[in-house]
Amino acid sequence: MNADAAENQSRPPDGMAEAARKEEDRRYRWRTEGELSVVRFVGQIGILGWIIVAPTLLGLFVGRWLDNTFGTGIFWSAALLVVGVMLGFWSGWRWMNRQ
Amino acid sequence: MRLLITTPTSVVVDQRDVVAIRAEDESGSFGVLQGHADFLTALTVSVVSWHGAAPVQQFCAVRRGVLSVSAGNEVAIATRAAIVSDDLAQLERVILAQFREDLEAERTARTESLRLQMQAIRQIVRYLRPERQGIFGAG
Repeated sequence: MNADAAENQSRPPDGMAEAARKEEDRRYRWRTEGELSVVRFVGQIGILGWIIVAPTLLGLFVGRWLDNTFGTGIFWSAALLVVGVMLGFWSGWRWMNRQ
Repeated sequence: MRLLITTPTSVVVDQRDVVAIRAEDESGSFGVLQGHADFLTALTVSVVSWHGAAPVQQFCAVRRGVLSVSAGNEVAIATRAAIVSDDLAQLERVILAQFREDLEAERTARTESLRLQMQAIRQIVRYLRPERQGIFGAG
């Protein structure tokens, strides 16, 4: 039997020790980080908003320019708008997961 | 407010001047203050914490259990196992030490009872040996 298994065997199987550690982690985080400040919260909303909106607008403008250049109605505008929205939401999602 | 934490074999905590209690059930963490409505819930394997008039937090790790609030001033927790500590950083170590101690005691008890059984069987076999005089045989 290796040392790891021996160590596991000498721990409570129902995670009582883990519960204690989790509680301590929570309290530690509360002491060191505390609640998010309102300013930072609003800032986060703003950043997320721009992350989604900016690619959408960019796609729309590029699409408008292409449509004007080639005279294709709204073909490029619509396509690039959708691409921009998708890109925006995707990067927003990634950004949220990173926080 | 009175806090009572009991295990099947002992009363672990019986404190009368408790101000606030935090505990955890399936739906998450919750707090109980003086005057809480009557309440009954099943705790998870978690840490119950409380403080009295002085703001010194005390902790008790519980192995599941039932928490009941009655009359707004008595909180009773019945649990399988409870380990108290006033230092959360030490609690994990205390739990592990307690667990190892229990394990050791259980092993000792098991070997002891096994030895007792063996001795009893040996005694019976010796008693029932044919060459030995029976209980009714008078010499």
